[in-house]
Amino acid sequence: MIKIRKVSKTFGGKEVLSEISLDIKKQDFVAIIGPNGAGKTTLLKTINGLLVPDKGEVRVFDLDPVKSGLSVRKKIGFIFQNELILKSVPLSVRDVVCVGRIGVKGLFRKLDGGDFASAKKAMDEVGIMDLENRPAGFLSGGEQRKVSIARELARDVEILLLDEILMNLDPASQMEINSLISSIYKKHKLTIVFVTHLLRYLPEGINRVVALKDGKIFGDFSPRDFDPKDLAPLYGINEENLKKYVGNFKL
Amino acid sequence: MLEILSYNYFQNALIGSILAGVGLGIVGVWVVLLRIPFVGVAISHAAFAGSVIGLLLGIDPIMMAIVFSLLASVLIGPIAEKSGLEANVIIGIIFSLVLGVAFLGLGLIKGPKTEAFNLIWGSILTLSRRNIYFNAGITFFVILFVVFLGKEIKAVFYNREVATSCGIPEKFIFFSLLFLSGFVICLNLNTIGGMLIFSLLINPPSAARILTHNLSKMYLLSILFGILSCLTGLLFSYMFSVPAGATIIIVSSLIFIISLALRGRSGY
Repeated sequence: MIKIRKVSKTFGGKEVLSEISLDIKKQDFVAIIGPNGAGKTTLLKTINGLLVPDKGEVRVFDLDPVKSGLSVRKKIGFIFQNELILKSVPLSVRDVVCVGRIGVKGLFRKLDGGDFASAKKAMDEVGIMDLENRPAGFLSGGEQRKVSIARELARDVEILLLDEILMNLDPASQMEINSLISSIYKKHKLTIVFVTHLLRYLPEGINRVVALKDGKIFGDFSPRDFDPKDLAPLYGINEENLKKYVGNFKL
Repeated sequence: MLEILSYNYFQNALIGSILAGVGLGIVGVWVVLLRIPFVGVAISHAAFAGSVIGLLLGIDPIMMAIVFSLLASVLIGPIAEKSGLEANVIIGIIFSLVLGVAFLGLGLIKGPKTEAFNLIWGSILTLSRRNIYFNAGITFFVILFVVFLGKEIKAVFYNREVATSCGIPEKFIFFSLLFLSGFVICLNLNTIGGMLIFSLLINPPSAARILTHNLSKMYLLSILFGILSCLTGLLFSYMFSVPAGATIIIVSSLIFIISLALRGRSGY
């Protein structure tokens, strides 16, 4: 479903991705981990064509996401790091969820009953129906994250790219969002790429962990052969400190 | 009192005021929600620079004002994109550049400079039918743009990066908003002038935003406040022989203050 071949990307003289190759199959639930600056966000953005690789090739549904642009992007959901709904923008929760339907609908065509039904179904699944008419900018961080998830669900995407969506959330909200993502994975059989720093809070159902370091693939683990000890050199800390941070987690 | 309505110049001023209220009311919403309020100042000074260059070269100053302001509004988006800087920063750079060009030109002009300064101060009572037709045309186009691409505009207000990832042609929409804002501002310079247009661009949508969390209502209130400011300004100008532009600004500022007071009671 997603094929990445020898992709490199440089920003300001620093090679953020260095000849990365990765295959992600249909219905994979992949966690991408790694230290800051490892290239995780850049990798996600090359998958949906927001960034053009300097070298190498990305194919999604056998198409180049940059050249095919909007037609490929319509099938890829993306929730960005630190997505924030500004208080100054007069949009309700329903308006924001409906943004997911706009690209699907196309230019010059009004959203209709079918689009609003999709938005409602997504809000219901995420558990934000009671917030439907609230101004989106005034919601809490956890509620805003749910609105973003509903927006992407309303699009009927096949791939979901999630970039550190647990950032700046309290532990209860992190666990709630994780269990929401797990249930979405089980119910919709999506392909999910989940970028995170929070190793202690990996959502249930992840069947692969890809570790990035300095723009390269440091390790590609399946739940069976994954040992948290392997991550000590990834973050450049000793095993004892790593244990303090991640605890005794297992996939 | 009603006799004044039979005069051509006053009819033009009246229609011009309503068109300014509608046009600036709509693009004001864009400018406020895209957080680029100084685009009005930059474009009006680009028009001023254009008219100065026109006078210097012996070309129609109004035509040159339109060319310069449209050029400025067309360039903001792509330069911001290319440089990776905020549109606001590029607006600042363009503003300083056109101001430099205008002052240089003023220093070189030997004859009268009244036509150039008219664009800065505005003169609503001297609006021609030609001005009215142009303003009506662009106002109608802006309304059509909102009617047919309203949902895409809403997505761009929400988050430009998310809009792109949702398959919306965000760049086309964003650049169009900048260009059309420039066009409307430029064509309304004759009505209230470059120095004063800033308030009419910002006050009505800001007052509207304070009173509603609904985008459609924000557009409608902004238009209503814009028309109200312009008509009240015009009326006061006639009744008390005071400058129309300045009165329009004071009325639009009062509307903002009243909205703020009303919001204080309604919560959120």
